[in-house]
Amino acid sequence: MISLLANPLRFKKFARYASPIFGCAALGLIAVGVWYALYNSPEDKLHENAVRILYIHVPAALISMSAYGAMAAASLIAFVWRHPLADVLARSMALPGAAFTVLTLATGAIWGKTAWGTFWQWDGRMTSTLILLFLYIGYMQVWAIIEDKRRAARIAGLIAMVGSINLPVIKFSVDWWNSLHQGATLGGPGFETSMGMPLYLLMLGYGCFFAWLTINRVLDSIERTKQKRTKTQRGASAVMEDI
Amino acid sequence: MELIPDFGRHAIFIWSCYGLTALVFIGFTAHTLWRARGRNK
Repeated sequence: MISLLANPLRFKKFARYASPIFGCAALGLIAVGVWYALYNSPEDKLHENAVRILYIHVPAALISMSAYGAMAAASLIAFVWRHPLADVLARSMALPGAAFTVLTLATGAIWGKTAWGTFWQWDGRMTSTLILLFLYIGYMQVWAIIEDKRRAARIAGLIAMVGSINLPVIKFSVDWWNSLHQGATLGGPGFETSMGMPLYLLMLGYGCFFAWLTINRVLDSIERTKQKRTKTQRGASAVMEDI
Repeated sequence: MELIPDFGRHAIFIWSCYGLTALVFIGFTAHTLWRARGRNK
């Protein structure tokens, strides 16, 4: 599948069908998910209505981590097999991934205020999520600062791959250290189905939205490269004519 | 069903979260659609 899509032309064909499918799925799932989250789910006994924040906080956290994992995997593929689209794919995921991390931190801080009485505490999960945001920023900065794009791809790829060590830290930080966060409860005992519905719908919806964004950003990147190439070729033919 | 449900003392926190999330999603969607229109011209 990966090697099939490594060809820009094939990717464009795939995107022609995949982009509207993911876009429409995201719109539908998020709309229904938000309706469930705000209008059709019960209050929590302990956290009352504040539990509704978790329906958008948890999916954002899940996507921010998955996006970084996917970015690291794409960087590894680019590193080992030198697939032309793998670096483009990794780069396209960085900005949406960073945005989801900002959303995770912001909604998490607000949830923290309602549940624990504080916007921020340097506990394992919050700190490692903040590090994740810095990794995203570092990755994007490398692409922005280094002019030689091959070198930029190598260094950014290394940041993505080495930084992926942070992902299990985020996941298991609640087990390793004392934390305000609770351990994994999703689907466990005491987890009500009426609360699961908005959560799962929004997880899927966020995933589809992220996929839609990534596909379109890859298409943008392919288009930009094509335009640059045409410009260079035109410049070269103009020089030849002058000679 | 109320159009804007009353979430009591947590209302400001809940609406801030949903508002911020909506803002980010709408921003990305608008930018992506604008870029897609430019690509298809």
